[in-house]
Amino acid sequence: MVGASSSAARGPGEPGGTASGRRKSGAGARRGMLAPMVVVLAALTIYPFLANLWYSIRAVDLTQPFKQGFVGLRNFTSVVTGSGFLHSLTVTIVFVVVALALQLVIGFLVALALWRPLRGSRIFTTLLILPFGLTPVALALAWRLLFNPSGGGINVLLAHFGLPTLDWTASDALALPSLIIVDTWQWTPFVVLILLAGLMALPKEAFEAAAVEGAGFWRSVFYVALPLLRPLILVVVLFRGIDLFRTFDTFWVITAGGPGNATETLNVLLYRTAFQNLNFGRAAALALIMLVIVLVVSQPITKRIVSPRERR
Amino acid sequence: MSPATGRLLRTVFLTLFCIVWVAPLFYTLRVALADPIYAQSGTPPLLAAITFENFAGVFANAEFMGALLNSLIIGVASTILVLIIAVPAAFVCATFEFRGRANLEAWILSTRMLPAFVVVLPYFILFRSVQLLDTMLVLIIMHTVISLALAFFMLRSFFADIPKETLEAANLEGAGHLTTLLRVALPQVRGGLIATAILVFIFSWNELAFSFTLAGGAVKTGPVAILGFIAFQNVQVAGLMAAANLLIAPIAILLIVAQKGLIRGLSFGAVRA
Repeated sequence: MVGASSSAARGPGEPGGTASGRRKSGAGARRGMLAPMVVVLAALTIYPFLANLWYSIRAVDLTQPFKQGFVGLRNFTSVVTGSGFLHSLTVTIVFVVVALALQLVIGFLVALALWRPLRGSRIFTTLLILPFGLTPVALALAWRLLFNPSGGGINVLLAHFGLPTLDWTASDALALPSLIIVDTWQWTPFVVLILLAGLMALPKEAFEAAAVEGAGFWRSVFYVALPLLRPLILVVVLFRGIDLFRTFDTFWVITAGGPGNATETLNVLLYRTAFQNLNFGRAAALALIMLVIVLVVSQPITKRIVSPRERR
Repeated sequence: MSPATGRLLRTVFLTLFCIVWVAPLFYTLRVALADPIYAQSGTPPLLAAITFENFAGVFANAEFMGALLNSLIIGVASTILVLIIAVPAAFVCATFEFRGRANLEAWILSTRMLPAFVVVLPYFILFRSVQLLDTMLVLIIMHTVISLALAFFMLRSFFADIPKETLEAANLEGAGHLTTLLRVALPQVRGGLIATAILVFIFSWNELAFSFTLAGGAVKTGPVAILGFIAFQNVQVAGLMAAANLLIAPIAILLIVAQKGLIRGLSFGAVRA
């Protein structure tokens, strides 16, 4: 499919065609070059959407293969009224909001420290790319070990300084904060590098004017830099927000949604419904609900990323 | 506050930050390089003797090494497919204005927002019915699909940096779009192309959700295989950390090589750092 459409695109555009033929074939060639992308992505989005829709109104329960058929909206009502849904929604929202706030605040402070020339800043920025690029499963395994209440690195360190040790991922209360720590560790450097790029691109004149008026460093950060950075901060918020919503590896490896269901996000709930309870009908309904959440929340992001080019 | 004091404070702050941020990585390496006896209790003393015993054990583990080979094959194959599909599309969107372009791009971007499990279920049923579950092919297909949006936006931002005159000159000489792309545009974005390829490969290498729902029995990738280590009751912590280090080592090298394009790619071209 891929090869066919690109060779079809090549033919008429090749040198030697008449001028008018070339102009007419331009649009065709462009369409041919876009087609593979569009077709493959349509398969990614449209097929699962329709299939989810189909399964969500039917009873598809692999543990009860003989009870199949149309059930109307019963899958949706049983998802929404199920005991797990509201809990998972709450866990997901807390995780997204708290982790995002931490990453933005810490990320902005570190970006500020790197803003003006500093010896060794290249080493810092190189170190910073490691956490968010390295295999999440491997990093999550490391954190699982670090959080281990008996003999894990964090408690060993706390005990060494005579501080009380904690149960971390083994306790209901600390499991979610522990996972927020992991994600903040992993993704704050990404926020740092984006905000740093934004700071570097700011016009010098604005700060010189502020300095002339006698504004100190922090005043000019708050009244000059932050307002100018607002579009970029919004991009970070929306991108990180969506990715936090999608986070699965860390949860699955470190707590698997536990203890109990203390860290069961919508993603983990969906995985359990589909692949542990094998209730595909209900899982499809939940998937569609999550899809709606993502589409509603991601609308502003897509507009913002795509439109800047039009202003140029 | 004098500038010198300011610089000193900033260096101290950044050094502390980097120490905290690198500590977990250092920890995995420390455990992996310690005698397994220490690792039974979790944390070896900081200055414990260094041994490569654990790494030797992982290298001798045929299943894990096979999984890394699977990851390599799937990663390379899906990277090639992604580039073949995304390069022409990104070139067209970066250099031509046509009706519906903004909507098309918004739609492409939105495909990146989907949580894996929202799409995995229908694919599971589809691939089960054509008996493709647990094959390399199914993972090559899925890893291609998940990186398309990322590669598209990253490449588009690199193509958009090419001066318009260069492309117009090629067009005046009678070159078709595809010839212009291959002969004129691609050589100019070689660095961007390499950075994109590296990022796509890293995404495939790191991917877990599809790899263990659509495969994971006969065909294991690195991340799936390493989870197998903890499925047993007696977790060999030192061996586990050695395997984790082996899994991330190639990625660490690639990240440092590709660091220039990394932020641009991960921000979908919104940040040209």
